[in-house]
Formats: sequence, structure tokens, C-alpha cells
Amino acid sequence: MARVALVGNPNVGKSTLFNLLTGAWQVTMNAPRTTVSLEIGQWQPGGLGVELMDLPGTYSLIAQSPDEEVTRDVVAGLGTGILARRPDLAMVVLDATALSSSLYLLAQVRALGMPAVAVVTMADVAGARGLAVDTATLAAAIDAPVVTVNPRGGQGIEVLAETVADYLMEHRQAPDGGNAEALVDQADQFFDWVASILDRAEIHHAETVTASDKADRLLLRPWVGVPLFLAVLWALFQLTTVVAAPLQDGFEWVITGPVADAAVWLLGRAGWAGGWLESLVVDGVLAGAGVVVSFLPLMAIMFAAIALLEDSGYMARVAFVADRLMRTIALDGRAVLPLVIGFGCNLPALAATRTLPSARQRLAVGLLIPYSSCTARLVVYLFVAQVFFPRYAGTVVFAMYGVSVAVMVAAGLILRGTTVRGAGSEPLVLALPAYQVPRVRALTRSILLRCRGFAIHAGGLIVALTMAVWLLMSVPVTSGYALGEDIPARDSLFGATAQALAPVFTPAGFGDWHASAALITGFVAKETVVATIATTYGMDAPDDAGAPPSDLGEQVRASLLQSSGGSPGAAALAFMVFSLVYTPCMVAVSEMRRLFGWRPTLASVGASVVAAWVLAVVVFQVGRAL
Amino acid sequence: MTIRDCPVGCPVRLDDAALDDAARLRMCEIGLRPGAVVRVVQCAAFGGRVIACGHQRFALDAATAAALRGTQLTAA
Repeated sequence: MARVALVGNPNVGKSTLFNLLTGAWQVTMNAPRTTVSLEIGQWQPGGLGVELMDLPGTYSLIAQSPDEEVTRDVVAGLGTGILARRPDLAMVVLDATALSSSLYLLAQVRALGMPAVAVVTMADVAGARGLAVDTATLAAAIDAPVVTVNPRGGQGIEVLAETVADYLMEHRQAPDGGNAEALVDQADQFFDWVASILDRAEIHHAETVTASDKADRLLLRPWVGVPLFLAVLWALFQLTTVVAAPLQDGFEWVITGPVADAAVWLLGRAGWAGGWLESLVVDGVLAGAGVVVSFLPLMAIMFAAIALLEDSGYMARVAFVADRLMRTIALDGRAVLPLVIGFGCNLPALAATRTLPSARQRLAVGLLIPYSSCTARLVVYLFVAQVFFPRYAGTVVFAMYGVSVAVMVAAGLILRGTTVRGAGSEPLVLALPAYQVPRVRALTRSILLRCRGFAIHAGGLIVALTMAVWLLMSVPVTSGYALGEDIPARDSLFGATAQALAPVFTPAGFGDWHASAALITGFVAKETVVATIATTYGMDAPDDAGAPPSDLGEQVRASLLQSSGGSPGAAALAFMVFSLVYTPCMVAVSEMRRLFGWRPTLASVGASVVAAWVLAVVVFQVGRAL
Repeated sequence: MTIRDCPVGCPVRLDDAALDDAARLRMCEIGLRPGAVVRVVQCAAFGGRVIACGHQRFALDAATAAALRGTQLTAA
């Protein structure tokens, strides 16, 4: 099967073209030994089987970031693992409105001995500005096939397929390797070549004031740009909380209601009613599937919002407006979006890291997101604050958000010296794409593909973890119970694990098995922390506002009074801080693993648990001394 | 003069950039080379500038705008 690489500057429509060509036949993977993601898909131009690779966008093969190194290595034949085989052909995407930088990249690709087909995009935008690109003249000037394509509408795809198929049929031999190090010395030569091509193709820059310029005069004006940006953040926050919540409930109900009922009926017909298998299917497999399905509308909303911001051209303006703020912790301006969304839910926030331009930035933001206090943690704060600080509950809950921001800034400063070392001092030179009206078809395709990726790649781990928790709760450790029965928490393997874990939290004042049991289920979902506390005391869960039944409050107070040695307030604060900082829910962990791989995910989980324990101990010990 | 000092709409021929070698090379690669004619199209918050170079638009932070030096071609 022939291998073709898509190469181009950032924001030229490369990924939209890739989605259009490959449809559902694509997988996302990290380049070997990196967190740089790239997509590989199947395409059949003219009936030929082609493996199409969407390489990270770059302005140059003189790489200055891990993403650019991956593109350079693939083009130069220096890749390893699955990237070891050099592509047979590069499709170099040329932005018709920015031919100078696009042609420079094309020159570098060809200098490395890689045959290229030029794909001109943004021709409609260029045409609206009076800049017509004559593909025949351009093809003659660069001595390579040139095809004009509109990835958003699909025009030109057939001609592109025909051109690529013709090339691959005629050239069966793999291209020779090139010397990537020589590219630095050749830069001036390439600049001259680009200038000569623009002259020969009679492409001259007219000084025009575009519609985008007029829009930017308003949208980037200091007293308009910042408030507008804040309004966009607010809207995103609302979308991922208020709008998504009822949809999530509805989707989950379908699985845990009718689907679970049908499964029970089928198992009953097969003679498996009421046993451990029914419990495994309903409380393990279907409960996990319900979690995955319930997050799908949230992810779809998030992906749609991001795609709208990117497709319209506003995302680049977000990066510009927020640059000054995020630079203090060495992050790109776009990082503000996922970090703020994280206060609604960490999962869509992790998904939003894909808007960041480099793998290092994506990883750094991905490591910070778990410290943003999602709304599921709010339920924990409300419950604990109402039990222990009823007169100051509002202030205590507000303070937890302050702690969340402080922990994120502290973690960001640590990352500035490690993961994103050197970032924040780089000059910001950001190409601003023209504003465009988003296309529904391309948006829908992008949203469906990303939701599918989440369901397949994160869903498996979520179901596996749910089944592991089911196992803990279903295995009895005392006599008188059978596997899968409704076992009291204290008598299950879950209760035994919580009791074994409790002494670890003694220095933080909450070395009590009810608390450690709640923290274990908090790893599954933070929403379950309060319900677990109630269950372990054999009581009903509090209402949604976190208002505890008075008996439950009394029992929790009595437990912490004992475990803290007489300082229950300090222990309660320490418990809240631990709940804030330790590992986010399993859904977020699964998404982290999907985006960044196992090593960064396990490092993040380990670091957050250690940080949570240290902070909780400090809070308790200081609180007790005051 | 620097791009930061340049009034909106005024064309400027770029002379040099007071940046490190890697950043200067990247500027050249995206089209902001010595000799290129640019103009400021928008002053943004925190001292940032949006400049036009042909049909391309680039957003620069305040420090980068101050590091780009050029010669004013005509009055604004």
C-alpha cells in the first residue's frame, strides 16, 4: 500500500482535507516516544489503496518544536517505529492567501528528495480579495502538479484523487533520502526561489483592507477584545455545564434504564436471573457503558464549540488576546480555554487541549487541568462545609476555588521549569486566518469522528475500571454473603480496602474508613463521594444541594472528631483540599491516557495524589495548631 | 522606528529584528523578511499589534512588535 503524507502550514485546512478524504477510516496515534499526535487513515484515489498521514502543521522543516520534528523526520525518512517507512509522496497544502510561507515549505520538502503534489486551499478567500491563483501557471513555475481544492465544501477532490493516483501508478520507487541539516544553509536560496515563483505566477500583494480587518478593528480593540473573549469563555462554561447536564442525564438513563431492564429480562430468560452474572452485567458493564454514553453529548457540545471557534477564525484571536495572561505560566494564550472549561468538567477541558499548537503545550495544560475544580467537586465542598462550617459555608466553598487557582498557578510555575522549559519567553508571531462562515457538513463530520474516537479509545478503559470497582464491592470478606449479593460496604472487599487505606490519612486528620471509602469511589466519579459517605453509614444520600440529613452530619462530625484527635474542622478542610487536588475521575484519566499515553497519565495521577496528601497534611497540621 | 511605534495604516519596510537566531529565521520563513513591506492594521490590548504583510495578517505581542525595526515609507 502506498503511503502519502499531508504536509502544510498550520490552519491551511489540512486536517479538514484529511477528514474529507479518509472519512471514518482513520486512527489517532502518538508518534513513537513522543506525545505528538498524528492521524493515519485509509484513502482510495482511483481505486488504489493509500495510507494517508496527517502530519503536524509547520512553517518549516528546520524544526523548533517536537511537533515540527515529527513532520521533518517523516519527510526526511528519519522516522522510527511505525513512521520508519518513508512516504512515497507528499501532498503539500498551499494556502492561496499565504503562498510565500507555503511555497517555502514546499521547497524544503522537495529539497529532501520527496516528490510533491501541491494542493491549493483557501482559493475562495483569496478570490474574494482579488487574488486569483492560476494553477496551470503555478504548476509550470514549480514544476509539479497543482490542484485547487476546497476541503470545507469538497470541490476538487476528484481531480486530486486522479492526480495522486496517476503519480503513484507511474512512480513505484520509494524516494531517495535528503539531508535535513542542510536546510538551514539553503534558507536564503529558498526565499529567492519563492520570490521568483510569485513573480512568474504573477501573484502580487495588493494593499487591501479586508472584511476580516474591519472585524478585527472591532473585535481586537482593547476595550472590546477582552470583554468579548470573557463572554466567549462564559458561554463555553455554560454550554459544558448547564446545557450539557440534562442531555447527559437522558443518555445515561437510556443505558441504566431500558437497556439494563432488557439485559435483566434476557438473563432471566436464560436462567441467570439474580446471580452474580446479572450484577456484573448491570452494575459493572452497563454502568460503565452508561458513563461513557452519558459523556457523549458533553463531548459533542465541546467539540462543536471548538470546531466553531477554529473554523470561524476566532480561535487564533483568543490566543492573541489571552497571550499576556497565560504567558506568566509559560503557556500559549489558547490554554485559557481548556483551563476555564475545566471548572465545569475536566473531561471536555482535556479534549479542548487539541486546540493548542504544540505537543509540549498540550501536555502541560493536560497536566494542569485536573487541578481545576470541576462542578462534581462542588458537591463535596457543599456537604462538608454545611456539616462543619454552617455559618461560613459560602465563604469556605469560594475559598476552595481560590485554592484551585493557586494550585494551578503553582503547578504551572513548576512545569515552566520542566515540561515547557523556555516557553513564555518566545516571541508571539501568530498568523491570523481570515474570518469564515463555518460549514455545517465539515463541522458535523469532525464532531462525529472525535466522539467516535472518545467512545472507542477512552470507553474501554472506563468500562474496565467500573468493573474493577464492581468487583471490589461484590466480593465479600465476611461469611454469610455470596459474590454479587447486596453486601454492606464494611463487609465487602471495598470496605476492607478502605479500612486498610485509612491509616494513610491519619496525619491529615481523616484516617477514618468512611472517608477513605469515599475517596476511593471519588476516583470513579467525584459525584459519588457524598453518596458513598452516606452508604458507609447505612443512610440515604443527601439531596442535590448537599444538605445532609442531621443524623448523617452528626455521624460524620463524630468520626472526624475522633480521627483528628479533637480538631474536626481542620480535618474537614484537609479532606476538602485532598478531594480538590487528588486524581480526577476515571473518565478524565481515561481521556488523558488516550491523549498523552500511559506514562504522562500515571505520572500525573501519582503527582496529584502525592500533592493532595502533602497539602492535606499541611492544612490539617497548621489548622490544628491555630 | 519599531513596529510598536508605527501608526496604524502606515507602510514600513522591515530592516531587522532584535531577536535570537532561531526566532529571526522563523520570522523570515513566514514571510517577515528584511525588505518586506508591512503595515500595522490594529493596536490590541497589552501593547500587541496586528500587522499586514501582503494578504497575510500576523498578531505580535508587545515585545516582538518592539523588536521589529523598519523604515517608514509614507506618512500615515
